[in-house]
Amino acid sequence: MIYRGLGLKEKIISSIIISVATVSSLLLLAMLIFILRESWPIWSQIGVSGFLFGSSWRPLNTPPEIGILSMIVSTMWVAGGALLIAAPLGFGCAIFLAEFAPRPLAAILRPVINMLTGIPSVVYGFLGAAVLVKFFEVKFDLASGESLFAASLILAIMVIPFIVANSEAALRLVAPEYRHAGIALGVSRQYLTLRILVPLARKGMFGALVLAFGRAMGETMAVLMLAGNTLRLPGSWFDKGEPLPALIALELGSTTPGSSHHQALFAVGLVLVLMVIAVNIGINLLLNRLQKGG
Amino acid sequence: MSTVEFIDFHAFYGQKAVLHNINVEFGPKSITAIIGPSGCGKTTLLRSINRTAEMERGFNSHGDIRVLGGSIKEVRNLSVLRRQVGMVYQTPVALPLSIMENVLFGPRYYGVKNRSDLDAIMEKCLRQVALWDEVKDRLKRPAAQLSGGQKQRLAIARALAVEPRVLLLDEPCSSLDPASTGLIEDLLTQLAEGLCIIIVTHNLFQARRISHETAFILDGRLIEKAPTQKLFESPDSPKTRGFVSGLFG
Amino acid sequence: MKKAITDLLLLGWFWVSGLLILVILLAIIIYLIWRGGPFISSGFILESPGGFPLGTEGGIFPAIKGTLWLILLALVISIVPGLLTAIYLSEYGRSGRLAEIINLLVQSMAGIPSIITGLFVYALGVVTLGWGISLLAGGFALAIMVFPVIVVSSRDALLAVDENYRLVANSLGVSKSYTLYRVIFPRAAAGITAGLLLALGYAAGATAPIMVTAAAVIASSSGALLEPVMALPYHLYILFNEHLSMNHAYATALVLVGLLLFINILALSLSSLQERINRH
Ligand SMILES: Nc1ncnc2c1ncn2[C@@H]1O[C@H](COP(=O)(O)OP(=O)(O)OP(=O)(O)O)[C@@H](O)[C@H]1O
Ligand SMILES: [Mg+2]
Repeated sequence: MIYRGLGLKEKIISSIIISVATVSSLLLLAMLIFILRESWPIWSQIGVSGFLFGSSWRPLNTPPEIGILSMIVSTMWVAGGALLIAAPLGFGCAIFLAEFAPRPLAAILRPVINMLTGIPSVVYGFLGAAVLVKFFEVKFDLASGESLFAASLILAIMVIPFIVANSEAALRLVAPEYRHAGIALGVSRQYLTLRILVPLARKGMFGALVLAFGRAMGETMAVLMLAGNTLRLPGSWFDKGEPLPALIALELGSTTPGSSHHQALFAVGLVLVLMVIAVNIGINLLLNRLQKGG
Repeated sequence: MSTVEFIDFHAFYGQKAVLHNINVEFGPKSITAIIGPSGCGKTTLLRSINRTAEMERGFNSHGDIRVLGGSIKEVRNLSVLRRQVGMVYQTPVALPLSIMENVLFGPRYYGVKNRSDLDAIMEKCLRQVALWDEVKDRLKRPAAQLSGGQKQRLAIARALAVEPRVLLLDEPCSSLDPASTGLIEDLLTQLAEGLCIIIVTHNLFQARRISHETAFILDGRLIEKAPTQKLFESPDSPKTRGFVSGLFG
Repeated sequence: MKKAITDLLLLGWFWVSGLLILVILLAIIIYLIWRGGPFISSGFILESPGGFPLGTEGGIFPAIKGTLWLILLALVISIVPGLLTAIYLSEYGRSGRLAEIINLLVQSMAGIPSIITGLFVYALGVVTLGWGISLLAGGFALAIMVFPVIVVSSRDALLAVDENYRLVANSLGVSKSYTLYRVIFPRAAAGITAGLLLALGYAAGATAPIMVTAAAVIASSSGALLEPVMALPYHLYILFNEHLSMNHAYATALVLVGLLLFINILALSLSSLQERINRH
């Protein structure tokens, strides 16, 4: 169809473009398949539930004990906790930018938010470890201040810009008539925003949150430097833990290809990717439901 | 022989039919005006001829259109068809190039390389649209700096530069002041000495002033096509009478 | 009365969250300058790590070089596929079925954690293809990571170009590639460059993917493809984690952040330039 009525040269150019676009996008699937293949022995030997819910990680033992429950729990604590901190601030900032900020201040804030996303995670992790963790150690007289909470706190700062940018966009999409209508009713701007604009923008704002959750789950350096890196099952937010990305980053270099340890880390990778993808698909389904519900 | 000929032509956007069974011929060396209320399908009719309508999502058609005797559905290379059929749109569009490169945009693609040939084409086309004297000192300046009326004449020059046999114009004067409109009407009258011109216009006075024939379209159907004077003064269809009577109050 | 208090509290919440963001950025920058600034000197930038253990003295030159090599290589690998994919999405595929699928894939790719990219390249490049821990493997991992960034930003820059240009050019019978080359691409150049810069910055700061594919504690970073390299973010991690030198860690962080903010500001000004062009 595309080829109909085109000259030969153009046909060649467009087929090159189509092939390159297709092949490079298929890389995503290639990645997934490759990681699945590398981790296959784990799934067939230990099984999905044994791997996910096993609570002991001693891949070098004979026979190896390979279960990642405590890392999954750590990941959830760290990422969930980050959202708990980031959501009120991120939404507050988005509402501020969309509705309340004086123009010149907004003009400064937007690039600032952009720059915050430009600071790499290792710097956040470093500052968190060098400043925040030290502060906890001194203040609460701890032997070591690293904890899932410390990681959450820094992750929160890292994901706030995403929450702000996406929620502000959602708020701006709300048709101006609603604002005019509200102003005409004489209600306060705060009331108008919370009761009318936010509900209308909730789809986009919720999406922003989920996107941030996905990022927080996959973030490596900050949690590696802050969460404490112990393999025990964390009992609370203030315990230490080792989220999945940190586990991969710490151990990958020391594995022998072909060993169970090596395969297990690929299984960890697969779990992590699937968690991120599941979150993103879950949100799409949920949003569609919300949309249909009105 | 007719230059453009619609044969049982139907057009759709998705499920919605926008042109119904159009059968009409447009002769060489003449200006035909197409009139009709907004949304009746005039633009679609024009853009069907050079097959740019199919750039729109969901467009499809059946029936046929013949340009210079050949079916547009059978052309092997669309650029051959589009070269034969020039088109000028409602909003004056200057490509983000210099005035000169706007005119030469087509010729360069079609392989004219020689400097003096290019210069000759440019001067000829700009003279044809009466723009030469206004811009000859600033040919290398961005075309974006021209006024709306000048841009529209530049658009016509750009279309003429690839030597089309048919020129389609979709409300070319609707955003222009009366003086620019007058200039363009004069130039169309001159161009009609060598071209088949089809112009969509909402301005019934304009249709009367410049066209030899006029076609009236309503809800995607061709109601009537006749010599302009007849169509305006003694149309066959009461629907046409109703539409053009706005003209006489 | 109660209403007024609620309103005031809400307003306080909005202002505090807005200003907090500003404070955080300023605090980070000022603190880094305060702690790291005094240790930045020409020697620090231009010398190799020294002292014992290595890194406690000397400079970070190989890390700067290594980072530049890595992002250059990442760009070289990803730019052609990235731009062609963007061109496909904006000019050729448009709203077709294949374009929809590619858009979805690219979007999902953007969400993949960077450590996963590292994991993949480790298995494929480092082990299977035998590259070892190397500049090549790191550049490849970073290229995969920035590919979706390049696609999305270039696609959006191309799509923002006035549709009328395409219509006019099409009506003259010229090909898409000619229109792209003469009109659309030059018109979107500033936006595309901004996207490429953002991608560069993103790659320069990434640590996890190079940690498992390319980075070494000490290396000369000569640019040899199959040798490991030093890199600024990894060097920062090592300086801190191995307790080599806090002062050097702060100074390295400052250099890294300075480099990235510079790239970021450049990208921001290019995209606002592009916005001005588009409005014309
Ligand atoms: N891209 C499109 N997708 C779907 N429907 C379309 C599209 N373009 C036009 N239409 C519909 O087709 C019908 C004819 O449109 P067309 O633009 O041809 O009308 P027109 O006579 O040129 O109107 P006007 O005088 O306002 O320019 C209209 O009902 C319009 O809504
Ligand atoms: Mg129209």
